[in-house]
Amino acid sequence: MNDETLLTTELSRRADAIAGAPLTFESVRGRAHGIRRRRRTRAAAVVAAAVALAVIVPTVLSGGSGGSDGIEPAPAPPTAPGSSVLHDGALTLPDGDTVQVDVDNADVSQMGVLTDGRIVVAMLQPRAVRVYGPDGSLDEQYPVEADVITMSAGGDAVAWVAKDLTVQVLASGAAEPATLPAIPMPGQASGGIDAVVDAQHLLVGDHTTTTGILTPDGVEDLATSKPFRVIDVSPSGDLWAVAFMPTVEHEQYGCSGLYDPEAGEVVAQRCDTPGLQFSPDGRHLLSLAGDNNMYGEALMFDRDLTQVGRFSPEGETVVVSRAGWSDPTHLVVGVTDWQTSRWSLVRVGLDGSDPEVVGPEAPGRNPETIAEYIVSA
Amino acid sequence: MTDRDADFTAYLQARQARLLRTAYLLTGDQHQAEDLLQTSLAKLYLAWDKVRDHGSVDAYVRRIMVNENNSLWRRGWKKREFATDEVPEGRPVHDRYDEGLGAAVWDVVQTLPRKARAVVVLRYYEQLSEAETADTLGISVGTVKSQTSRALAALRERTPVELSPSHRQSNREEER
Repeated sequence: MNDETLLTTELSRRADAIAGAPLTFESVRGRAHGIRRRRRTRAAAVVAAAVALAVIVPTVLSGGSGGSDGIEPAPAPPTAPGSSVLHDGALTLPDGDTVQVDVDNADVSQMGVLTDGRIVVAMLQPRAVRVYGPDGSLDEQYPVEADVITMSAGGDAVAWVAKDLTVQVLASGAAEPATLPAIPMPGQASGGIDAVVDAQHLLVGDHTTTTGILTPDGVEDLATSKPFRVIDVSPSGDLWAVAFMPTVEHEQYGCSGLYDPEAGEVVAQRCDTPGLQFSPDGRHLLSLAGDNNMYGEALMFDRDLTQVGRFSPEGETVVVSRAGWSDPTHLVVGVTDWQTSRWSLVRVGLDGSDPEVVGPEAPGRNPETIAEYIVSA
Repeated sequence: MTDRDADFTAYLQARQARLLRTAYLLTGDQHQAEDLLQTSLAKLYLAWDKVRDHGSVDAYVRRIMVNENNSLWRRGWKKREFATDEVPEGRPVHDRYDEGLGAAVWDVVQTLPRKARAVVVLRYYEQLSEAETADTLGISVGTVKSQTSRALAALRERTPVELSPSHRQSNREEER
C-alpha cells in the first residue's frame, strides 16, 4: 500500500463511520432565510452609512454648522464595514464569507473592499491597481504612478493616482473610475491622496502635508490651524487623524493628533501614536509603531488619545505584521515570528486581552518583505 | 411545495449523507460538520435556480463547504458555539488491524492547514482530478500539486517509521 492509497483508505474509513441526523428541508430553508435576512441587514447598514456620509461630510468640509434653530434628532453615527483579510489566495470578509482571489500577497501592497463587494488591490508587480468582482474574478487592471490606494472610511469609494498623474476615483456601484484633475505639484512629481472623504471630495497633498481638497472642478487650498498630513477620517467625518512633521525630539515617527475640521483645531495630540486608524464606529483608534515592515505592538486609544488597550504578541521574536479593525470592538492582527517566519492571525478585544487565534500558526515567508495576512485598508 | 422546493428536497435526500462525510473530513468534528453542511445547503438553496440549471450542484456545494470551512472568523465562532459540558460523541472506533497506522494518518490529516486538508479530502476522498480540485478551490493546478506533495511529505515524516507503508513492505519482503 503506498501513501496515496493509505490516505484514500483511511479517509474513506473515517467518513464511512459518520452517520448524522438527516437534515430536513424545513431546517435548511430556515437557515437560508436567516442568511438572507443578515445579507439584507448588512446591505441596509452599508447604504445607511453611505447616506450619512454623503449628508454629513460636505457640511463639515464647507465649515457650516449644518444645524438649524429647530431641534432635530441626532443622527445615529455611521459605522463603517470591518476589515477583510487576504491570505493564501483567499479573502475573508467581515461576515466570515470567503472569496478566492488569484493573487500572491508578495505582489500586493494594499487591498480594500468596496461596499458593492468589489475587491481593489494595489499591486507591486505589475505596478497597477486591479479591481476584482465580488466573486474574485478579475474585472480590470489600471496602470498607476504609485502602488497605493486610498479608501473612503465607509468603503464606498477608492482613489489612486493614474500613470498620467490624473486622480482616479472608483465609487461603489460605478462601472468605471471617474477622472479627477492631477494634484498640482512642481515638475513631474506626483502628489498623494491622503484621504477620500467621498467620491467627490479628496484630501490631497505632497506626501508630507495635506494641502488641498480635490474635487472634479480642481483643487481648493485647505487652510488648517497647523501643517499636518491627514492619515484617516472618522466614519462620520467629524474628526481627522493627522500626522505632524517629525521634529528633532520625535524624529522617528513624529507626533500625531486628532483634528476637528469644523472647529478648525487640533483636539488631541501625542507623540507615540503613529499610523492612527479609526474604528468602524469612529469611537476608538489603532496605532502601530515599528519598522522593517513589522510592528512591536498594537495600541488602542479613545478619542482623547488616552490609551485603552495594548496587544503585544507573546515571544521575543514575535511581532505584529498587519492589523485592522474587524468590528468596532475587535482587532484582527497578523502575527509573525521574524526568526522562524511562522504566521498566524488573531482576533483581539479592544483592551488587547484574550487574543483568539483565528488563523492557526503556519510557516510563511520573510515578514521583512511580505505580509502573509493583508488587512484591508 | 413548489417544483423548485421539491427538486431541492430530492437533492437533499439523495446527497446529504455523502456531503456530511466530506464535511466531517474537512472539519474533523461531527457537530461542526453538521453545522457546516446545513449552512452550505442553505446557501445552495438560495442559489438553487442558478445552480441546478448548470448541472454542477455537487461541485457548487463542495466549493461552498470549503470556503465556509476556511472562513477565519467563522472558525472562531464555532469554538464558542460548541462549548459544552457534555462529553462529545465518540470518534469512530478503530480496531487494531493496522497497529495504529490509520490513527497516525488521521492525526496528520487533522493537523494540515485548512487549505491543504481540503486538497487532500477532494483528491483522495472525493477522488477529484487535480484540475477539478483546483477549480473547486479556486486555485491553480500547480498549487494543488504542491499542497498534495507537502501533505504526502508530512505523512511520511510524521507517521512512525515502523508503521510506514514502505517499512512494512520491506519487513514483509524480509520475512519471506
